[in-house]
Amino acid sequence: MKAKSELARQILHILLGMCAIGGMLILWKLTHGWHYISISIAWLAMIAYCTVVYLHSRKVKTPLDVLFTYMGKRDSFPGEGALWYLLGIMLALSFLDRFLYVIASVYILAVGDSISTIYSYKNKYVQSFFKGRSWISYLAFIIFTIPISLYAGVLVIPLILICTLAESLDLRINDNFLLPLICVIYFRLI
Amino acid sequence: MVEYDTFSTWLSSYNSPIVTNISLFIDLFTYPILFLFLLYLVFVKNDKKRALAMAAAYLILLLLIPSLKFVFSEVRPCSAPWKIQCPSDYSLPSGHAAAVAVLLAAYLTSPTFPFALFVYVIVSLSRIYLGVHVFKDVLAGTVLAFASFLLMNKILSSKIGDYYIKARSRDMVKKKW
Repeated sequence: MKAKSELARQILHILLGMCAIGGMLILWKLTHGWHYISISIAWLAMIAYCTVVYLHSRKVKTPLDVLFTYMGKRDSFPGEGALWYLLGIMLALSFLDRFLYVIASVYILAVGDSISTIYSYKNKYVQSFFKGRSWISYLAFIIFTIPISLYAGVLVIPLILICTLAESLDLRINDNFLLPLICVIYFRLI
Repeated sequence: MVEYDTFSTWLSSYNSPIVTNISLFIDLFTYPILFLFLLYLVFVKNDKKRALAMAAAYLILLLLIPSLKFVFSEVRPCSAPWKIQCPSDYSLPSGHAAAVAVLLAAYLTSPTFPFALFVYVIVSLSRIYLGVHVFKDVLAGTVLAFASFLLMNKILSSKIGDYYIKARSRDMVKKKW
């Protein structure tokens, strides 16, 4: 039951990222102002999400309450993990200007983090250093995120390796924010 | 020629004397009002935990925002010079938006949230209206503020929590003796 709920959480994690990437791709195809429209949508989404968290804390029922049942076992308030996720996407959008860089950052955040968690959960007996991640979870992170290099270029490969290591470090910063932060620093430096 | 987003261009081109005066007031008094609010939290409301997390977040932002402005060196839009004299520093990220976003993050699950949200939206839009920032700067400031506050809140909560647990266990040992 616990494994199923964790799997559902991770699938939701990937789906949300894919929706964000899909939305940005559509906007990019349709208009030159994809960046500003995406920023505006992210800003409105953040305000809406904060309102939902507030309503949930006040025990007001909303259709999005279902989400809170799948989220946040380690959160200090309901929906904290999802807020970090949204902040991660917003960070990539506000500090990166190139479309491919934003897409690569969101893809690594959505797919890499989830796949690595799913594989470390499945192979819990093959322990390694760093946050109890298994070697298979490192490999899964790399294998599932490598395809983005076909789209965004080979420059993404070193970034994937850095993110694989950073994701497994036991830091105070939430992974949903840490991965886009590394992506922003990397893309700004190259 | 730098291109700005349509919404920011439209909002900064809009002109109303009342809105301009309100925006100028916000421009001048956001930081002093927030400082007084922190003092109010500590001395009147006795909400020291929240005030401490907010103050720590402000300290981080105080270092981070000018550094990032210098690193990114994005020129301010200054699209409405008839409203305000263009500041000499850079644009990305917005310090005013970050300052009020800390307030929003601090009151996320509190009954005061609607008021904090109202203040955040008004201050953020006033920066774009005055033509000193674009939407991207506001979003960047918001992200930094939320991240700083949530991180500081987590660190301080665990530190303060550990301190109280240790103090309580010491008291229990004393009582047993």
